[in-house]
Amino acid sequence: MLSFLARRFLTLVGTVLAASLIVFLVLEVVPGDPALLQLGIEASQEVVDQRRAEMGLDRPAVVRYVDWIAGLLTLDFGSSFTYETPVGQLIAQRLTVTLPLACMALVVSTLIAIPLGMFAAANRNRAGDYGVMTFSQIGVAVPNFWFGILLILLFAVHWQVFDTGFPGWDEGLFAGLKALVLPAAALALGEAAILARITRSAVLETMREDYVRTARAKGLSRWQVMTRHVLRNALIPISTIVGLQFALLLAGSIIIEEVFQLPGLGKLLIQAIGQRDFQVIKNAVVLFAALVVFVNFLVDALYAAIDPRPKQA
Amino acid sequence: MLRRALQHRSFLLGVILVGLMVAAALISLIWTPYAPERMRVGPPFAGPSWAHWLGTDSFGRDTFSRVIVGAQNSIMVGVVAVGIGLIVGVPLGIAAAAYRGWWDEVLGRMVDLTFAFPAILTAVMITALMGPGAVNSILAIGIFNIAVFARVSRGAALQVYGREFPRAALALGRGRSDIAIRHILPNIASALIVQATIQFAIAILAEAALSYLGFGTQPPHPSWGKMLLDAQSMMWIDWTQAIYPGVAIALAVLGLNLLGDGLRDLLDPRLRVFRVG
Repeated sequence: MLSFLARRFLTLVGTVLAASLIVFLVLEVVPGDPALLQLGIEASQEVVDQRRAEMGLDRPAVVRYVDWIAGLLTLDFGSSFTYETPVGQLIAQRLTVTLPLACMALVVSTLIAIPLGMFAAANRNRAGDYGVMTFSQIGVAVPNFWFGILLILLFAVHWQVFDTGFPGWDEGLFAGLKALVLPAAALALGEAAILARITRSAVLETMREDYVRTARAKGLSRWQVMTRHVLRNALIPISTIVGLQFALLLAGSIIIEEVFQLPGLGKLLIQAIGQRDFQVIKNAVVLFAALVVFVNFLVDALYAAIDPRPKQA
Repeated sequence: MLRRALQHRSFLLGVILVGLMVAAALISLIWTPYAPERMRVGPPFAGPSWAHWLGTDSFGRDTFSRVIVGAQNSIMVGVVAVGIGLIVGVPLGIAAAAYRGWWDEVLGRMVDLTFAFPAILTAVMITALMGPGAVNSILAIGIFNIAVFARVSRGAALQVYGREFPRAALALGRGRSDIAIRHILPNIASALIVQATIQFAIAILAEAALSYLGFGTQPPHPSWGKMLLDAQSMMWIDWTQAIYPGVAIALAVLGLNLLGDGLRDLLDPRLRVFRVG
């Protein structure tokens, strides 16, 4: 078990390092001169040279890469050109929006999907099942950003019960959470649709097991069998998917933050791209990738703790 | 097979929806009620009427013309992005299954690395570097598809290589590429067709998202994602314009997903579809 986790952890470190190398190559080496790219071709040579020196581009690429990675390890992400603030500080601020948003979306998605999936499995090939499967098909097909726009239309424009934008956590926990309700719902729809379908098939598969038949035969009610035996066993594959969905929700926040004008990490990334602030772009992208890989690692570790098979694979 | 297909209701619905999208795109190549990029063909924010079936936008452009021309854009993105994935990813995946060893290991790591960046993140990064535009967004989506098709074709090809006939062909002196083309490819075709349909849907969603963010198709050329962005900023004046492009995207994606699921049921019900976004 430990050696399995150690191997997976080494893979994690390797993947994040490779990701950082790709990001570095793509953003700092391939474009030729990031300083010129940032300032535009009309900038005078003098200004470009000065910018190059400020950005440390007069040093060899290998030295810059090693410096950047060493900085990452000590949580020193450098300074943003546009905001003239340490990037670490910017990212930390923005994560206070993105992480609660992704967590809330995960909770919403799980709370909708698991009961729906169980209901569909319990009513297999009946109207309820078809209803849930139709919801699932539509949920996957509707783009989350359009669903977000529809939610704004209904709840902010028509009924005016929610505002768009984010008041900040200083306004109180309730105000902050309220501002995240619609974005989390928009983000959750697609994942809930997929998770409902996976829950349905996991539950159906478990319902075919001998011990479920035995439990029914010894007189347990359908509800007791469903909650005590079926759901518990079906939760193993479901929890794996829930973990993986967290990574997708983090990525989905890039667009949802734009729809709802939330000052999160995704919005920071999009703004940084518009301003060609490479210091912010490269750190934000690597952080996104590291979060995704880390969540996958946690899922693997959890799965290994519950199910013995992956350790032998 | 045809009888089974005709009895498969969700497959038929998928065929109808995809057929509608393709028909809209083809018709718009030769005819649209108004030039989709021309402003003031009617009053701004006009409601649906005989003259403008879906009304007009803030510039007085005909929304119906823009929605059907948008279908061209989505189909082109889907075809090219899936094409890139198939042309590059499938040979890589089959080669990994055929040679195994370090080649397989390297490909596996590269695929893992691609999936470390969620599709939208890769696409945003590439378009950020290469500049916004339809071509760059297609490339970005295509690069992600390479990894998807490499993984799917490797898995499917490994199963086929495990059977006896590829070994028999090798014993008869056939070359590896000959075996790959004559024996492996036809046997993994159903998996690839089903996956291609799903990736087509994902490509349409990704392009719409990139256009919404301003990185995809550039104005004045109509794209469903960009139309939604424009409509959102004017939603307080006319909300109906925020409905049509979204419905178009959802129907296109729904149609492709139903088609993919139906094809899987008809071609090989045991196939596992790989869904990653």
